[in-house]
Amino acid sequence: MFDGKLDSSAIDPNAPSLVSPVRGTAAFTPMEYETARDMAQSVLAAIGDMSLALLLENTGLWAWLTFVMRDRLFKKSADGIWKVGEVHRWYPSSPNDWQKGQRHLVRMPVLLLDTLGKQADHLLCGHPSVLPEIREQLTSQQDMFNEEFQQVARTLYYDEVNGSLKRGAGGKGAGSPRRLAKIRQQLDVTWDLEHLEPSRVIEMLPSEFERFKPQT
Amino acid sequence: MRRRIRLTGRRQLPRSVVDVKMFEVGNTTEKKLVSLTIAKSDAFSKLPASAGIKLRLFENKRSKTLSFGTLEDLKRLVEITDDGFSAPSCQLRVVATEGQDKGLLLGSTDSWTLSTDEDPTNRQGILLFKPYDTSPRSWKLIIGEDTYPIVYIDKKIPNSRVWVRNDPTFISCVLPAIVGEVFEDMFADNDQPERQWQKDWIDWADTLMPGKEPPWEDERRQKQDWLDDLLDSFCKRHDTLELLLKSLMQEEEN
Repeated sequence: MFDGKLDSSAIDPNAPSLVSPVRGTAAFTPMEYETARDMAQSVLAAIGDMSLALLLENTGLWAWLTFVMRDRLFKKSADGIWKVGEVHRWYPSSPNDWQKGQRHLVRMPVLLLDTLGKQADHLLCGHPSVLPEIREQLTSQQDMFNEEFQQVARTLYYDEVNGSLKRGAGGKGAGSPRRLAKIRQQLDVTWDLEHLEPSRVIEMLPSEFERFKPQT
Repeated sequence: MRRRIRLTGRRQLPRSVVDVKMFEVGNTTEKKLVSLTIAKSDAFSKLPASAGIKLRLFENKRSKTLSFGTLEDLKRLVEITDDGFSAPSCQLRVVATEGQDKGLLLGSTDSWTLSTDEDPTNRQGILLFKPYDTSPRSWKLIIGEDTYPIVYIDKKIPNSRVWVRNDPTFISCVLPAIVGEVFEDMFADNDQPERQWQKDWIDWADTLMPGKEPPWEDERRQKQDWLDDLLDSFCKRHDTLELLLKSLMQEEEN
């Protein structure tokens, strides 16, 4: 269907011949979501007490969620074909795939919210249909998936008042998330970043990050 | 002789300085413990007694740091409270915990795969096998960033580690496909791979096709030709077709 070979109306996402419920989870009804965080919260509510870790490799589950939320995640071109972009945005690659595992538009927001909570605000404040540069960059290395590092990134790039990214946080130049990812790798061979207070890590950042640092 | 020079002052520790094991407790796989003992104390002799010993785990985009106390007060056993780790990539980190240098990384190892696997030959291999819930598929290959590729075999398959080593269908049909997928993944970057597990796979390929280096920077066609040659060599070395035919004939006779 995402390839444009089949009309989405031809598929009943609740047909027992096609799908079966995931044991231990509740029913999921898609809503209108303003942010990826809202969407992730709604999915987590349906997952309930079930361990998310055990569901991460369930390709069918994430593909199904993408299908039932297709109106929220993708737009259609004039000829009626879904503009889905790169395949791993809708069809999940292995979660251990370090290059593509973070691209899925549903699974990654759910994982980020589940593991980082509030410290994922800067990664999830955009619309669910958007895979923002900041999320691509700040989930590109496996040792970025910890609260300590993401708290540093949140402090730098998240505008608490407006609930959105600070101006310039989506760029690629000096002080950008792309640069932070690079600097993190450099600091990581000298320091144990999880051992340091996030404010101390922010102090260590070079002057290119000044415009994003909190005013004291 | 190759020598690594580190300008950060961090000591590069070999993996063998510690003995780390992960094991499951009870009848379920829900409780996992990690034990750590120092196997070569000389490696730590110049580090302060107050240095913290940590083990950093990664798997499926999840990370967890286990703290084993300090060199002078080492905890031997730590529980993993997250059920998402079955064969995580791990790294030992030794960290200053006191004074002006607090948080400084004093030493670390390269990453390796931690597994509950009790088979030592499996742990040393370039391809790891691990029972896991892969349903509806019978197996699944995961190629990570810093760890050797892992083939997850569905845990409902009895004695899966024995099965993958002896089943003619698996050896003849699945293993060549896995080898192909691993090299396809390495070729995708168009550069000579630099990670340790990738170098080990290239060394392995060299034992099958001595002197015939992978065409990292060539076009897709040349890469595919090289891979075809590698799979031919692999199948010839292990006589995979003959192995499969014998098995099929035996089945027919029975």
